[in-house]
Amino acid sequence: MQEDRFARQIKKGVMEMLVLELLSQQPNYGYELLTRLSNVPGGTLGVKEGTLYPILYRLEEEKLLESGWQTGSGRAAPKKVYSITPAGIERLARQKEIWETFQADVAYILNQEEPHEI
Amino acid sequence: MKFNYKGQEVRFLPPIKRYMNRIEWHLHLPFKVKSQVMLDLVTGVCARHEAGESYEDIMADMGTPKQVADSLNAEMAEFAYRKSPWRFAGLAMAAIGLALLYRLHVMESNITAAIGGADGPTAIFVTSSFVSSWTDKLLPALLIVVGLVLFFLLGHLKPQPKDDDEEK
Repeated sequence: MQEDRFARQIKKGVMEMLVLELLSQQPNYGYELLTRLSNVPGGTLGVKEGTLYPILYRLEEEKLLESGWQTGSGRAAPKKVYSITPAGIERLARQKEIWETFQADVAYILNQEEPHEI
Repeated sequence: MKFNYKGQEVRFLPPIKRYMNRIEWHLHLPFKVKSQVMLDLVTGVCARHEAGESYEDIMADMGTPKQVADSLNAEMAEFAYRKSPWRFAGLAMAAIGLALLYRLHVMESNITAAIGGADGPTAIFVTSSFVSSWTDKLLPALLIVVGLVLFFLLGHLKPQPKDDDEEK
């Protein structure tokens, strides 16, 4: 089960950035975020409510997200919707930068054809 | 069951109401977090229903209320109240208070019986020695109240802040 643990750790590390990214594309509610994550073709990004909600609440506490009510038309029920704040956009940009550098560094190691001489 | 969040009142209507009530019942989270979770859950249920799914299908897909709550409790343990083992000292204190109160009650009952069966001076001597006044009951009552308050408070300590660097 080492691979499972590895996948879980990576997912845990990037989930905050993914949530911020999805919300930077459009305000959304929790269930829709879960659906969008689990519909990613590779199928590695699906999470449960219990994983997503703490991230949303922590980001909201840090003022990187804000929540409010979206009242639908007609008989549609009001929905709790999350949207990204300017501080959240800044955090996302920084995280994306780190992620790209990190990804390049990992790829550099993994794609090395000849081992370094010691 | 209804929640008020940022000026918006949300009520659950049957048939989802009972299902949501049961989830809420099984959730062991502080009230504020529990409200947020319930509102996020109900938002999801409403969205799915409006997209054409029946409540029955949604509930079947989510699992039993206990399964939903257990999963949330497990994954949101960082939000749960901390319970100090010292809370049992509070419970013991309340139990001692209760025992003392019971003992006073038993003694009073015995004395009342003795008064009925005794003559003049003896009865007067016994009652002045053993019949409790309200001050005698004050200590056990205080023990019970303070003990129960301690038991509650020590079972609802603030969650421990999660150390993000713990896995370094």
